[in-house]
Amino acid sequence: MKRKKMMAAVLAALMTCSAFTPAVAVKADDDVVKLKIWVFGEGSTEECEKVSEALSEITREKIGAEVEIYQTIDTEKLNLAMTSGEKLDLVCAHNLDRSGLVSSGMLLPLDDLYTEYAPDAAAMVKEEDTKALYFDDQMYFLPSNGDKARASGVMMRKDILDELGINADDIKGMDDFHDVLVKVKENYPDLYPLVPSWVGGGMQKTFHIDDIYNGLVVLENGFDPSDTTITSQYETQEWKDFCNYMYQWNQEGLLMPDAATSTDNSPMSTVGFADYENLIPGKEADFSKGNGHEFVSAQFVEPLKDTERNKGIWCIPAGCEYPEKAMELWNLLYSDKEVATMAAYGIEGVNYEWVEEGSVVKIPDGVKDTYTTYEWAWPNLNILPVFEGKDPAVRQELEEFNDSAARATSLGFVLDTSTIMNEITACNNVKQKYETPLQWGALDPEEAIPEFIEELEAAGLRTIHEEAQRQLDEYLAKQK
Amino acid sequence: MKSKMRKIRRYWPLYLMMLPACIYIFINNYVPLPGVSLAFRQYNFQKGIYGSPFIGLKNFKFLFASKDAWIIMRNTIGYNLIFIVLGTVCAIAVAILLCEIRSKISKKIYQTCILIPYLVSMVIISYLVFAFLSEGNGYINTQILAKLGMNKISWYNEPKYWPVILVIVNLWKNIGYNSIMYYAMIIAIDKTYYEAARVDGAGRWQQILHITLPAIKPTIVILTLMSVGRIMYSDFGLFYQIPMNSGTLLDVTNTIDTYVYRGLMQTNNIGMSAAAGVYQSVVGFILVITANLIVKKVDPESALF
Repeated sequence: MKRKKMMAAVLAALMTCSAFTPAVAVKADDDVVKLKIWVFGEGSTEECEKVSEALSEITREKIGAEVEIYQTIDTEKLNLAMTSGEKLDLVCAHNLDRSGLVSSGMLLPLDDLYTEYAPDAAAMVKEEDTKALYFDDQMYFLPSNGDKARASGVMMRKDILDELGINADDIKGMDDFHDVLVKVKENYPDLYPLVPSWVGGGMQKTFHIDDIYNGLVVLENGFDPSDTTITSQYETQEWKDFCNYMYQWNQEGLLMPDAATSTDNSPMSTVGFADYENLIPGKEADFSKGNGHEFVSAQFVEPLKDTERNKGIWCIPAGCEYPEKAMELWNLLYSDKEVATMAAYGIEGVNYEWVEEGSVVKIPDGVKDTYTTYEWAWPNLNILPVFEGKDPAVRQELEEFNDSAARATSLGFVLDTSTIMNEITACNNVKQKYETPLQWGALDPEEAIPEFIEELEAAGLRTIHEEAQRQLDEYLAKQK
Repeated sequence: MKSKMRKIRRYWPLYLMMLPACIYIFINNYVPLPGVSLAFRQYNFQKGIYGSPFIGLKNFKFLFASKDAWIIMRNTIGYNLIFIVLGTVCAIAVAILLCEIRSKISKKIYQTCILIPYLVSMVIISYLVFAFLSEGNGYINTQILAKLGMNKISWYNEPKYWPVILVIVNLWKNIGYNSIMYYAMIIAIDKTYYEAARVDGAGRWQQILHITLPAIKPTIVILTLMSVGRIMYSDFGLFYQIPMNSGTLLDVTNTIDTYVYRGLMQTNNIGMSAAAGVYQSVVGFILVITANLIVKKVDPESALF
């Protein structure tokens, strides 16, 4: 009797232990397929469930599958889900290391699926835009239609510029910008003239370089087709000049203190006057909405269409059980306005309402913004309505912007990093030590840049460049 | 054999009580052991652990690839040595002081106060530290240095201060927990020793030196040996969160854990992470064995095994 009691106690203890292991498997009903899609967004779990249910109503009819939406902006969370082998069917892999995903066999090759199960989308995609989706002649990522080119420059508070009597169009480069910052510092002691864009000294690149791999592998001038010599961002004159400017500005007190280790994710909405930004049509309106002031931009670098913006972010993980259905779902997200709108904005009347039927939406009054995705993270930005305050014509403008942008020399070239992983990992570590502090003027470029390059070289930068140059030359030869 | 059976029959409830922990250790520490082979493979998700190709020691290369390799080892081992020595000394000192407090209430209050930091997450502590050190609004810069008429210090860009800052933070956080262990040992010491010593005319200091310390020596040795085994592991939160991941400070804050995290955060190469883990364990293992051997030579009774 006693023994039995004891056994019961032990068993009970074991059961409580096993209760802690999370049950991840989602059992689909007998014949209905359930597709898990992972989206870049910040919606709450409850809202995602509601929207998934409503969306499933439509998809059940159109492709015979149900949808389950998961949202996060935490790259590490997605990373963990992918590496731990969680069953996902369609993933927005924004910010993940694409080459790593492919070379470790985490993704399905998509060539056949794409032509067979996504005919509507395939018909809408331009051929040029599929170039950067390939690794070793196999397509691993799906094309995205959105901002395919980027210009860059600075974003500034419009009210302050107006009060100072400055026209944003007159600010053409770093020297003009410096004079503005000095005036702001004199007249608005409560503001920091130049601030980071996100935590830890976040900053967009405002250089003419064609960035092939994280600043380690770049072409110095992406606008010049004759320049095909691989270098690193840190060896270019433009970047060195930039660091010199920032160092000097830091001495003059024009930068936010502790910028390189900032903990504020949007200082522009509170203490900042200006920051570095990517510029595309509609950006000023978006930025003003997001930061609660009116902002105006000045462009330093003309639009450039490069691999980075055309690499596609949607992919199908290798663990996907119904790749055909997943591809059909992606096809709907790309080509079907109803499905795309619901997936991006939620349920009509609950999460959004029409201001202008079919083209402009807004969040209903009194509704807390709980189903928030990022428009640009969806496959096709062009078929989505715009938020109130933005001109619907911006979609057309974006299209023109993409078409008119200069083509980067390396457009379509994707570096295969599998043989140079050791060197890249070591270089990433060196970068952590120098890049942000130099870009925020915390280190003296005179001393630090040579040290930086020397350490990069010790970590194998030249090996990376040799391999990258070989791959690039091969790629360019094929293009001719 | 027979006597063993008898032992089991006699003590079975104790064995049964041990069972869950054994199962746990087996599942958690032994079942994943074959995964060590990952460190020598180029992992492919479709081929699985045993199907992935062998690449020898290539995964380990990045640990030694750059000039940083020795800085990382120096920081990891150096800080841990300081933590072990200072941590033990301070914990024992605090434990002895606690024992000297007569009033029950104040004893409880002190105990709680020094234990609280141990329960606080490093992320929160990093913001407490930030409140002191922030360049624009930090307490030290605005309230102390400014009032003394000194220039502001950009703490997060000055490596020279950080060894001290990190040691202070680590001591402050862990001292409470460590001292509890010693405190428990000290109050268990038979009071008659002290009485006898007092009769013989020993002062407080002599009592500590000749009764308290020898009595807790085995505990000190075991706890130190255990820390030595973890000397290749660093407290990630302490070295990553507290300096706010500031690049300029890396020379004095980069340890093997933060190095691996920074290097692999973007690329998430499973083989290389496994390699780092294997390397840490192997070095830790060797150090424990060596330390234990030394202890055995000096004082066989205190050795772990």
